[in-house]
Amino acid sequence: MAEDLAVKIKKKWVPVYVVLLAATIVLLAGLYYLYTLTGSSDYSTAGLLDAAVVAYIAWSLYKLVGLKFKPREVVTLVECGKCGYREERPYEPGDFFFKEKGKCPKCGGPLYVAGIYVKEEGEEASFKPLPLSSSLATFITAASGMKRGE
Amino acid sequence: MDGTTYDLIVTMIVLMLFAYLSRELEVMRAISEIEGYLALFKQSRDKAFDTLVKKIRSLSTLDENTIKEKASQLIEIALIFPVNLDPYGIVEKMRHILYTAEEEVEREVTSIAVKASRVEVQNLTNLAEAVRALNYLYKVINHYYLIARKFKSLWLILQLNALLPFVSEEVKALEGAVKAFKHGLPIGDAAGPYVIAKLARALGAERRYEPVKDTEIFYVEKEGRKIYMVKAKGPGGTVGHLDDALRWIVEREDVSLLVSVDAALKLEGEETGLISHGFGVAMGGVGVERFRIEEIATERKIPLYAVLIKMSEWEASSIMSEKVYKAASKAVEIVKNVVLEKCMPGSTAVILGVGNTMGVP
Repeated sequence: MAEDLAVKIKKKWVPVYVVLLAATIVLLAGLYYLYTLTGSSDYSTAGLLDAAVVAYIAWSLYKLVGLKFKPREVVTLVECGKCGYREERPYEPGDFFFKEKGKCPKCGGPLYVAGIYVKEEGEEASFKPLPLSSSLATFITAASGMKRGE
Repeated sequence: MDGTTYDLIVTMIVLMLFAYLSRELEVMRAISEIEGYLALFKQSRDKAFDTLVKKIRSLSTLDENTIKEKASQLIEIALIFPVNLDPYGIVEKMRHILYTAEEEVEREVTSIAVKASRVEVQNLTNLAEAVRALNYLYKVINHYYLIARKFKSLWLILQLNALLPFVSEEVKALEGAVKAFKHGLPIGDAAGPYVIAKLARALGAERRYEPVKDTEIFYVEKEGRKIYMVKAKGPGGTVGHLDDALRWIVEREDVSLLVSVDAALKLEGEETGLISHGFGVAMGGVGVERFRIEEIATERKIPLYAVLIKMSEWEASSIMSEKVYKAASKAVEIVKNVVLEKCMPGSTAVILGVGNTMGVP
């Protein structure tokens, strides 16, 4: 889904996040300073709330910076019909399955296109429980005397 | 508690205000998300349209404006399916409409891209279809978005918002298809035809027939069994007419086994390239061809066996991935064993390689 574009649009927000993060950190430092000066619990409460905001912005920024668009490389797999030698080469326009692609460097037999595919693949979506759910499940199974997976 | 009535009223007003603001914020979030998706869908559609125009330009003698106009016409084509108030005979009516559309679009593409070969015409037709689907998706989503804004309907906005992840999967699949069709590269859906092409080579197919448009039939005798292998004719992008090819075979042979090989949509969490077996005809699409194949098989009591190669919608429409390629290579041996196990010596088996054969001759 226009992945390259989506990544570009999201990356535009990085400076905004950085400014926000810097501002909230400065505010946090200020609140801490005021708290040490006055000892008022108002400053510590505000400081705690600000710390939560700092953590949230830092986490969002971390995720944003980690966004990468991985270009997918198309390769042509050539195979020797005689000795079974295989080699992956960059795809060339005009390649199609079973097309002859010269001679085998090992035995001199005919090379043909055995496959055309993309090398890079996206991550498989799979069920990944949150750390808390996983720990809870371990605790429940241990408490009930069951083994995981039973 | 020493609050007065005044305090109570103020508290209630503040609570109501928060409830109202919370809903407004939720709607604003949903609207901004829909607008973000819409911008991406529009970008995808425009990029795909440019790809189509560029491809036509490289194969045409027409001027830029005419090419754009013709390309716009190509992506605005609509298929009107028959009335289903009386469903009797509807499959034949649908088939007629599909055949007419296929021939007319191909003729139109040929008249625009006069320098294109047969393979290029097929690929260009596929490309136009993918752009048409992208255009349609964008228009439909935009329509519902505008309606929701017009009537300020919270429920329409939320429903649309909930649907968008599924639509974006389709858009992603179509984007992948545009890339593949542009270069004539095999897509994941080509797994079925690839299995047939590879099997025909592995078994040393002795004869090849082309009795039906865009479809080829390989024939080989293996360990006393007659084996017919059917696939769309590549390397241009087409799905062929496997039903007509099967009819051609059953008119000549007493078929005792029908095996279909196709790419099947996996569920989220399932592994790409998983090969599963089943009974019935493995074939997607509108259902016209599958209906006719089932009809032939039922008339002649031919057992139907299916071999499915699992992949996501995006993988099926995009350039073939390594996992799909490896699974298809593995499926070749599986299909061969199925035929040798289930078809007794002296009898005839037909194997259908279902899917778009782009890049697979």
